[in-house]
Amino acid sequence: MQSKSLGKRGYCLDTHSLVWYFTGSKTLSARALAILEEVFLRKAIGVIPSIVLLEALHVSYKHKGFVFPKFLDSLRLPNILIYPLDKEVLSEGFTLPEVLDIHDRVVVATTLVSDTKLVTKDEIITGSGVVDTVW
Amino acid sequence: MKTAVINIKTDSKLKLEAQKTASEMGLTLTVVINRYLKNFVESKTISFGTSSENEKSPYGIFSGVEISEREINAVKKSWQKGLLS
Repeated sequence: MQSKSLGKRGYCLDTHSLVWYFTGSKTLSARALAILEEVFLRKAIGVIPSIVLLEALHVSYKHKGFVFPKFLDSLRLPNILIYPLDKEVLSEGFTLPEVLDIHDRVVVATTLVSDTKLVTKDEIITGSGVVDTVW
Repeated sequence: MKTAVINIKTDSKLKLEAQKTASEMGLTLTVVINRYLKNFVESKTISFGTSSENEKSPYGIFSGVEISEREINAVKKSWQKGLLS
């Protein structure tokens, strides 16, 4: 059975980094863009917390140009893992600082359990110092 | 999930190369083969395209759609409002 730990060789992707990558937004930092290109060109492992997919779905309700099925289809790569909100993630989530909201808690817990770096701009997450972040 | 075993014959060198490549990506050969099988069932196609065809980046495929950080945060807030109220 494969270990869930990716030994910090992979990247956990937060909602805004993925959304801005797909929309080609200039708000995405050069470093985040380079990492996402690595992931989508199959040169690095990408981990996507399940809640990120749900957030992207809700974003797509408001922006019809963000076509959710097409987005999902683009994630069907062997190096991209959709990480479930399983017992391990939940347990990790229970130990995190109160400052993190429910969504951030799932994202941070997933990053910790998968032992990856989190691609995020979120200042609360970055400021919490709980996970390695890149932007 | 009920599992089944598939025995296939392949070139031993190819098997080793595939295992090495999968390992470098942090994956097992089983994960890779299962992903290919799922893709085959879902798409009903077999892709033998060149790597450049297969590795096309989806960067900017929804270009023209402007989604602000505030809007993304609003999604979180609307959910939490529902969860906590």
